[in-house]
Amino acid sequence: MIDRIVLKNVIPQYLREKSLTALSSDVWGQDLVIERDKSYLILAESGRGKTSLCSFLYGTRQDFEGAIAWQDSEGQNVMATLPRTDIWKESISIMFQSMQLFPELSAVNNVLLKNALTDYRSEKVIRQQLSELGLATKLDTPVGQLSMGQQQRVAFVRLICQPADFCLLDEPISHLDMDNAHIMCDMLKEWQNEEHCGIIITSIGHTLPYPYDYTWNL
Amino acid sequence: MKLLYSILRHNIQYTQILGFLVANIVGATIILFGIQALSDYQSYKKQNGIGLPNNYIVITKPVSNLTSVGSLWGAQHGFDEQELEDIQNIGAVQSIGCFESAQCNVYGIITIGDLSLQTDFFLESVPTQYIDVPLTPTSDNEEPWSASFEDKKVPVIVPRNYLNLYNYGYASTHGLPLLSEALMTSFPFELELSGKDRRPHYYQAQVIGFSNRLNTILVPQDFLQDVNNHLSDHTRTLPSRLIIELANNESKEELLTFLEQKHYMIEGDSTSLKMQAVVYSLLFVAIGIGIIISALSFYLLLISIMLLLERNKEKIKNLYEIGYAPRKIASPYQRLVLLLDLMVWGISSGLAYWIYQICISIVSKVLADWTPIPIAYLFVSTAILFTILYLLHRWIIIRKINRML
Repeated sequence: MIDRIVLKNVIPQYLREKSLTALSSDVWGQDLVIERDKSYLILAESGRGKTSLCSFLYGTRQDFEGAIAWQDSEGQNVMATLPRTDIWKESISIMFQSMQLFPELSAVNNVLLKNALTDYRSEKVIRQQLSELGLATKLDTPVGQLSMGQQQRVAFVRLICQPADFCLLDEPISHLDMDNAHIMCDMLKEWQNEEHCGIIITSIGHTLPYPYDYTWNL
Repeated sequence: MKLLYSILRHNIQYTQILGFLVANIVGATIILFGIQALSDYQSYKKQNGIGLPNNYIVITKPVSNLTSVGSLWGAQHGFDEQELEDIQNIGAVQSIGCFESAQCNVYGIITIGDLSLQTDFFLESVPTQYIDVPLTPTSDNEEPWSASFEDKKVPVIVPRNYLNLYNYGYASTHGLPLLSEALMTSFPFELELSGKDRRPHYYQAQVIGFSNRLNTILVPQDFLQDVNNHLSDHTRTLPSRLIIELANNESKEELLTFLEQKHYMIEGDSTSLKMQAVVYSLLFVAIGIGIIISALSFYLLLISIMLLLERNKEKIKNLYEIGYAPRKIASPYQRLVLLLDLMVWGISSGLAYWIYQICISIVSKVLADWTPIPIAYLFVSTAILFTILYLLHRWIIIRKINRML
């Protein structure tokens, strides 16, 4: 179990030319601790490295300077000891900005594919969650035939279909209306209450209306 | 697994897979048949000592140009004590007998009426146990196969093929009378021996039998040794020929290999040895062709799988990033190659078995004493080859996926 994510002077390699003063970031070049059961909003304009930050925190990219430690309660770096795929299916969940869904699979099957790893939810609950987000008639439609907004909702249901200590949402409502955003917020809150996970959400301005504990400018 | 397979099966080129199947089945069938035939041939060879004409063999050292020149200077061309010991130590060798030859001048004289025919002659002896002529004591209880230098009578054994050669190759074309074995044994002829005392010594030689095994004119060993002691200037010479008695139940493999390595020659029929070389060459060529075809088809499958993995690279990366371990991502591909390898080796072993059965029915008619080795060997070979290739396929797939991530 990951208890906290500790960032020490982290800065993407492609931004290292810029001085920290010029960056004036709450995250890049700072020492931070991201805790469980808290929610964080990362605000930034395009090109400031939101997706890079999500990839660094998820552990898929290492092209940064400084250090990130995914510490358990004893301060051990979990990412260094466990296989990444075990951490991704048990401890860190992500909703990619590009969603990374499988276009040939239906909406339900995209979520079931993830669910097959941990058997976290029943198919009935998954169908119900997708329906609550307005996809009742699209459940068995291949995702490749859905709009970007519909795909974002499928990706969101997949995000909350696993146990997690931390969860990353990279611009989760960039193609969504506010009604669906509120439904999403409720579902996310309910899941956070179950998992007590830390939530990190990035946004360029169209922000998920969530009760954030911290708001950081990237 | 069903969902995973439905994602990853996209881009499978079924025509490539079919090509692999056909090519690999052909290659694998040849290999399996070759291995079975080779094992069978070796087993037959061990059981029956193929390459050795019978239970006794006569071996000589080959005469090279060097030994020819050496012999002019008195060098001895024969088997020394160490070589005899080496041969005796081979499992299939029951015993060894050395040929001894008369180290003096020998003439054979046949007198028919007033006509006397004289010719150069040679005499050899071997220990009595190697002689294939019944040596029953005579009516007056006299030892039939014994003589001394002082005796004036000496028994002689001649090769049966000498008589046949005379009767069918010489007498019939020169208008001479044919000689039966009984006639030969009833007419004595004369031997004239001379040596260091420069005096002729005459003996009445009596043919007492005909040998199929020993291709020389034999006199009793005690007589020959006595003659050499009296008439020869030479010290003891090395035996140039050996007769080997073979052990019945031992493998002849080691002996054949030893003789081949030492370049010793087996007298008489060497056709079976040549046949052996031909059989081995054919089988190795067949297995070699099978291996080449299989290797190419193995490569074809690998290329197909690699292309498939490359085409699905994005999906594989996505699966990995939602938590699918490389081992799990590899499993549909590993199942695919498992299915293909099972088909290849299953069909190939069936085909090889079928071809082998046809061969058995043909060969059994020619070789009555042949017992085919159990067909289980074929299936054991199949299982071993299948396991090796499947594990190799598995390993290559997982390695490729790990490199992609």
